[in-house]
Amino acid sequence: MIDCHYLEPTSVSEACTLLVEHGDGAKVVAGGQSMAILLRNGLSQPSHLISIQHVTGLEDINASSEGVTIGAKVTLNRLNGIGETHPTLRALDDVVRGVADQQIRNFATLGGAICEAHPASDITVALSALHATVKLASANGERTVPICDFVTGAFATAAGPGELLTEVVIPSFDLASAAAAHRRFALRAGDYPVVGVGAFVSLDGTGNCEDVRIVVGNCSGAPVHAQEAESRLRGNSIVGNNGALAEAGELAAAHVSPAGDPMAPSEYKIDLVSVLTREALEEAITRATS
Amino acid sequence: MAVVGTSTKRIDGIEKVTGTAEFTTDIVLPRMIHAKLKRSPYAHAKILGIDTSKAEQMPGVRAVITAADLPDVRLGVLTLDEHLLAHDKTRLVGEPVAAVAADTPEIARAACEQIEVEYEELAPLFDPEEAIKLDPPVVLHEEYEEYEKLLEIAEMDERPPNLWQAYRIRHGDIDDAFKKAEDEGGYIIENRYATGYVHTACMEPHGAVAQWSSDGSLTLWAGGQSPYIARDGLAKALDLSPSKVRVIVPFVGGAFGGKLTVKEGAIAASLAHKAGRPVKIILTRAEDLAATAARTPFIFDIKDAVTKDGILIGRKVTSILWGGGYSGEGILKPIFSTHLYPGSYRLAALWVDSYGVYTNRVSGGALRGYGCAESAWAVETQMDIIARKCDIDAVELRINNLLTEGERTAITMPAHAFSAHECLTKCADAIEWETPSESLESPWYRGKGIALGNKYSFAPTASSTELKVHEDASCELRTSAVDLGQGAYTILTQIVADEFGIEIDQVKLVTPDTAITPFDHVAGSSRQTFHTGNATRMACDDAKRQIRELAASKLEADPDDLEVSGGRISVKGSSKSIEVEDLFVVEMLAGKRPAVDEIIGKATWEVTASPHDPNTGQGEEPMAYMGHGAQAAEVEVNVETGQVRIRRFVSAIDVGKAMNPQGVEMQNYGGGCMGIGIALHEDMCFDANGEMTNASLMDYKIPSIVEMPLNEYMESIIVEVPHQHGPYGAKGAGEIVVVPTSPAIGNAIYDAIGVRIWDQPLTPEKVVKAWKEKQASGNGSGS
Amino acid sequence: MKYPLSLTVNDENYDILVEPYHTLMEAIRDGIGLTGTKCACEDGRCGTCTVMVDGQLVKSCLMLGLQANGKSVLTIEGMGSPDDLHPLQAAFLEHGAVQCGYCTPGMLLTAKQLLDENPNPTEDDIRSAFVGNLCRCGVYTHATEAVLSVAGEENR
Ligand SMILES: Cc1cc2nc3c(=O)[nH]c(=O)nc-3n(C[C@H](O)[C@H](O)[C@H](O)COP(=O)(O)OP(=O)(O)OC[C@H]3O[C@@H](n4cnc5c(N)ncnc54)[C@H](O)[C@@H]3O)c2cc1C
Repeated sequence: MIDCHYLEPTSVSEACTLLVEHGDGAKVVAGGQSMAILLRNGLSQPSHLISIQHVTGLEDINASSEGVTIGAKVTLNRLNGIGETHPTLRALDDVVRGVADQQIRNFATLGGAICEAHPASDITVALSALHATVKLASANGERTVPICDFVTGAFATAAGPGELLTEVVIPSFDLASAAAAHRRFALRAGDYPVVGVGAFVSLDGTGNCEDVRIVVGNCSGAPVHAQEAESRLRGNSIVGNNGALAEAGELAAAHVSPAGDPMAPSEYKIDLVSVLTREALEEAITRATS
Repeated sequence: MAVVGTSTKRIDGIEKVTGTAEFTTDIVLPRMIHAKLKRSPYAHAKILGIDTSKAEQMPGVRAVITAADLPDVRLGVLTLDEHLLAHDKTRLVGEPVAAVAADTPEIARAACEQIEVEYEELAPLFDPEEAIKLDPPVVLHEEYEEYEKLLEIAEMDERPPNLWQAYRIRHGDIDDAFKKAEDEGGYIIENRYATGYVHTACMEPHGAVAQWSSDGSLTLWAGGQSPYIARDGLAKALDLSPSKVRVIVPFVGGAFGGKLTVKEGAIAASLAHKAGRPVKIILTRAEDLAATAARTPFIFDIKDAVTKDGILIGRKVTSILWGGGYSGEGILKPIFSTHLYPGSYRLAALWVDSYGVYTNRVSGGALRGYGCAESAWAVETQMDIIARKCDIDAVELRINNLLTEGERTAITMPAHAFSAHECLTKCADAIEWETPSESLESPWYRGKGIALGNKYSFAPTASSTELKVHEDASCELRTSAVDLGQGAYTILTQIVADEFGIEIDQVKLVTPDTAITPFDHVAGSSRQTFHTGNATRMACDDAKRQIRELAASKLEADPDDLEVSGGRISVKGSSKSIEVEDLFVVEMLAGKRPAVDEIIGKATWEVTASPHDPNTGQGEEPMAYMGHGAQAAEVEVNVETGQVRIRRFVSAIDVGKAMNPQGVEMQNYGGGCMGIGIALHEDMCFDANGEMTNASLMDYKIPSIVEMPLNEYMESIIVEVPHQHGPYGAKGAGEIVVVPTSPAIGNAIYDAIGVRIWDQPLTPEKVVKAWKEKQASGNGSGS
Repeated sequence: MKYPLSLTVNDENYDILVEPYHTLMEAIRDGIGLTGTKCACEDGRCGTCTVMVDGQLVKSCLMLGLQANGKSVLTIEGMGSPDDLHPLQAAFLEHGAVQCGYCTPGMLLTAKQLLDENPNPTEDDIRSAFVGNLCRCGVYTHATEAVLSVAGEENR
């Protein structure tokens, strides 16, 4: 049987040192909501588990003019309702309500949800639409990576050996003219979605689309940017323009070529991308204009 | 006070709500070790060799077995075609080929990985329509002709080599019926339906604990549906006399047809023998879903002859049960599924060819509704289509075709306690059938659907019980009927309390243990209230007879003039009485003993049935009874995402007599929940190699609470049309509650969006596809 | 390598040894021997292993035993006893929310956390709370009734 050690650093620097020290055999445990199962079923057999449970300084939510910073250990449960205190985070709030169930949300951390890099993750999709960046600490210091570059594929991230995700930064935007929303469809409550779509729109003075981001989840290893759909909207009139939104949905659908899941073949997932893109855009526009 | 007919709380409830109920998974014995199975990764392969040496040398490993360690016997329900561990061939992914017992489950699992099996891959066969050919591309069981078979199948000129079941019904003149429909302006309606792969997915996975005594006898704890079927199976598999095998049934975390046999228990027993220690085996969820028997699919080709006024005059069905590597507990399904072809309807002509075939997928097993829930999908969707074709209301059309009390169905079952009409109309009223669903804003649509169903309870069958009376007048019922959650223990307790005029808490139940409790066939086929209920009443009568005889001399009265109630024996019409306690005498240092013998009532309730001729489906009364029920659903369909929400659900079932009304309600709601899952969400999926791809509770989607309608929109209706042979008139309730669910929902979807989906489950993907096809063709795909 | 794990379970202290990869569920069931907490799915979906850790609901198969070191755990055995049922336990029985009983412990703890946080939940609140507790017998309708019957009651 595997011989496994359990370490409990109390600071980020200590955690990073341990990660370097134990190299490939080391694995971070945050809430354990994904890790515990992998360990129990022998699917992950690290030599050292580095629990960040007692690491301090990763549990804050701070807002500044630049944006909102959320510590890696903030639980999903604490993010429930975050859109009310930090209205730029409504898209994240959309997600958190639907992720798994309350038991899991009680202990699942934001950092864990990102680092797990599950292809169907809702969190990374919403955060990508929000243009979030993640801060990675290591023995060599800190670096900041846009979340869309951080998640590189299914269960794969750009975190280097010895790097710990410490914070997520969601940049602020003008609530009077911009907003984001997330829509997902799951076959049953409490499940990972078949498809999730995050959309961000900002409007210029005339109600035309100034900027837009459309991010699609579970259609590839990592979230996918639907660029053609974005181009279709950028600079164009989108408020109340259902035709344009529907077209954007179709372009987003044309952009993805997902592998099918049990009970959700590729073709169906593509259909959903079209519907959910349109809906997420509609909701974002409604928010931006109200 | 009458206890039968009241909603007494379940007698095993306190243990269950306090966490003290001990399930198989909870059992721990001294020196107990843990078993894991090495399973085949191939759907079809020859086993060339197995090398267990590495596994055997691992620290903590106590025993490793392969087929070579087991008696060379083939097992099965009625066609004996399966070895406990694969012999020279594996016929499905997940078939066990070896087993390890070790100090911890982790070591056992690691040791299984060290077992090296050399396979020669064979071409697999998955398509049942290929499998049934006379010259199929692949033959699964080359030695089929040599297998022992306990059931005769229909005669055939030549048996397709992968076929293990054939059954025919020939009733009336079917050609004439079609001719008449054609000639007289009626309709011929022909469609193909299919059901999906469904798993019982009990919350408690399959498992067992085995322990040997020094005298060579085996005790097995296993949460199964029948300790006697288990005992017999263990004895056969291990080449023991049944008397050497004791099976104890702890609390059972759900069964639904999936826990009839104890294959893993027999493997654990063999390991325990080799290791000289108790062995526990608990399947992982993935093993449980992928490798224990499932409700495998049916394909139904059904063709109805209907008069222009909507009277069904002939029905022709060809069906294939898509069996797996072994015939298993699915063996009778091609027969029992045919009960629904006439169902509650009068049919002048019925022609059926029903088959079961081997394929390299998971073996077919039982699941609540055994065959009827499947055939109801075809039949009750047909009825909806016929109604629309004839432009007759779907409830009225069904009523027009119903049998009447005393008539015989096309399969010679007398319609008795015939409540289909009442179930149907009460159900229709509750869902406000006459009022069409409100329209919603696009993309949502609402619609209503209804369906009728039957569930037979099989025969021949028997139940025995024993009833011991104690000096404090409390009663102890010994039964091998199993409470799987359905409430059997509570109902049997109620019966005893009623028969003796005592309180519920004066009845003690001795739960299934073949060393103590007498024979009971099985907790299946909705039979326990009916059969064990009758046996219990009779055992009570027998005990009361003994009491009356013992009391007669003391009371100086004729036994026939005595009555026993509330712990007293009194002379009818007089004030003379004694206590039950007075029939006992004091024995020095030993408290009280029975003055004569122990007062133990014994009884066996038996229902015989002569097997039907497999070539005509005709004979005497083929079943113990036939239960009726109707269900209706109002659905909300989103044509863009394909989501189907059940807004409203009504289940009206006839139980003859509601022994415990709350218990019936639990079946109505709980069965509705399972039925909704089967109709909409549950589908075992397989990859091209025959491996299940969604073998987890995350991916195999039994409903969560959110998939159920809100409470105010769930309705349970109890219909009570007493059965002449049922205890207090009662019939079973456990299975009928899932029979009409799928067609009721499918019909509601049609009502909402005008499309038919022919194959279960009605997943969002299929809804979207069917809707798009309809948009493209400009009309509905319903006929 | 085994590590000492110190837990307060249902107000009693336990000191056991666990492997780092052992879950809290295994610590409770195998280490301490309290088997009311069930295991059914191995992927965190079903909720039969639900317990409370420091007053927070958790699926004990999704937390390592060592993550709960020094914490206070409430399992079904601590919720009430046969002679002194918790009102929710009594209500589950009364309203028929118990069939096979395998999911019952997890459902009850979920119901408890819900009422601890929100003494007057709506039916929607109850449905959201139970999303993570699967029941194959389908007691959902009755469980909702049971929780509603206790909601707002004193002395929970
Ligand atoms: C039943 C179930 C349903 C779910 N449904 C959804 C869903 O619908 N949508 C969705 O988005 N998610 C879903 N999830 C995933 C859930 O959000 C994650 O399991 C959870 O957020 C992981 O967080 P954690 O803190 O528990 O991480 P852990 O399990 O502790 O860790 C997860 C991974 O991240 C690494 N890690 C954790 N923290 C850090 C860090 N700070 N720096 C570097 N690496 C780190 C770990 O090494 C590990 O590889 C579901 C999970 C379950 C079990």
